[in-house]
Amino acid sequence: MKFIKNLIERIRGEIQYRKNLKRMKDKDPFLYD
Amino acid sequence: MSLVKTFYDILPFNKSDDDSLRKQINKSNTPWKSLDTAVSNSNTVLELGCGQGWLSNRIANNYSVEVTGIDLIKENIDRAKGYNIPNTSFNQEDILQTTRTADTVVSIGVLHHIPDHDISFLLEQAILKSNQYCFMGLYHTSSRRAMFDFYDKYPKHKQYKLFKKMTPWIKDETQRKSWFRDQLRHPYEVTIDLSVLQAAALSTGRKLTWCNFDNDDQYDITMSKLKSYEFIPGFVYAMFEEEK
Repeated sequence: MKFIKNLIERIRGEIQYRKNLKRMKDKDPFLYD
Repeated sequence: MSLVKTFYDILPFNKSDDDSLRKQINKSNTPWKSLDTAVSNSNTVLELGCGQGWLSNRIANNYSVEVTGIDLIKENIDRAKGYNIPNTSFNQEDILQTTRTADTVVSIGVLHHIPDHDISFLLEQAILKSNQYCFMGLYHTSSRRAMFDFYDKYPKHKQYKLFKKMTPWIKDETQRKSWFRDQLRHPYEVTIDLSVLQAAALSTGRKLTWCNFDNDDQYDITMSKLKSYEFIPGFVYAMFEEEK
């Protein structure tokens, strides 16, 4: 059960990461907050 | 202190052999509106621990101010000077020894890496070097803890690969390596809560006019960003002002 939960969390994170990727490439690298 | 100096002598933070630092200097503002406002109302700026000078040079590039950057590492000073931005001066100096002052004093990610001195004392000393504004970036306890907890879920040998995924704007591997070891392999760091900032304001007679956090409970929000592989190292930023 814990494995499934972690897997779903990782997949959600990956989807969000792909959505954010362009913004992350362009952001001011020192704007950490 | 020698441990930290040796750490940066081996590889200075932000060392880059491509033009990524130049791109950062060419941006039109600092990353913080609060600092932009302070600098636009100042004649002089002092950066304590300027590193390779991206921020000092960026400020001098965009505002009519005289900017002085000091740093302990000679290679950093040489690199910072190398951008040849007018109205800047860079000097190899110990920030604990310097007697310099300025209208705006800025220090990002430096004071929390100085061993053998209480962080509150270091913060107060930095604030008192400013005539009007003091802008600080320091590690925040709960936010920083989230970052380490997130990375600790991965074996050590996989952490650099993860870091690479989270820093897509870095093109140069030397620079990325310098960031990675600075964030995750540093020999010394301390973290603070908001009470440290409030106490420093009180003891120096300055006003804490801006902070990016309004409470110390930043663990969950930081962790949720990290889980989508957004790089959040756990900084708290604060502006202290002389009350007129």
